[in-house]
Amino acid sequence: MARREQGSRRDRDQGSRRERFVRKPRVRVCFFCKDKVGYVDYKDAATLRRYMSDRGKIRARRATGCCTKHQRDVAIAIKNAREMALLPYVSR
Amino acid sequence: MRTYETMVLLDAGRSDAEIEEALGKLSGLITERGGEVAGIDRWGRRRLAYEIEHLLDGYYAVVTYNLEPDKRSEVEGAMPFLEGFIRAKTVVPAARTRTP
Repeated sequence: MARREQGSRRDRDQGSRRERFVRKPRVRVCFFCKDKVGYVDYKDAATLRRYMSDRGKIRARRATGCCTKHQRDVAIAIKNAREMALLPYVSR
Repeated sequence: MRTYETMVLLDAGRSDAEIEEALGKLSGLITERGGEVAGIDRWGRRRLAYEIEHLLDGYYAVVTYNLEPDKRSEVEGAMPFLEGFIRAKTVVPAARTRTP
């Protein structure tokens, strides 16, 4: 880590021969906002499955890319679908 | 009047006639209380995501109806007495619909 800092300082001293690496923020678009989905249906198990891990857990917002409101709707829909045995609580 | 959507899960081991009878009784529960059934979507027999009461398959049906909100609890309370009833879920789709 320290060595890398030294290197970058040297590059800076010698003029910017090497371009500085800048992480570009990934543009995330909520699928439901994009498609203008008004109601996240708990009966649509195939869509909801995309928001679950292989273990059957609800994926985090940072993984799904959903906006806050739709992430909340997705979580509620998954819980409703689980209650009706459309989706599993756990899968091994 | 409010629009409700109830998904009922019935025992898939029952005959088609018994299932139709149970769905007819469910419609009766609604109409007796001044409601009106807008439609019944029969999904049919499906594999359950997990075992319920040692059953692996269930018969799914979605009943959409209009009913006075104060009668909802009466209808839901009577549902477990239907033949072959496993479980049911009632939602108000309009309550969760967002305007994009």
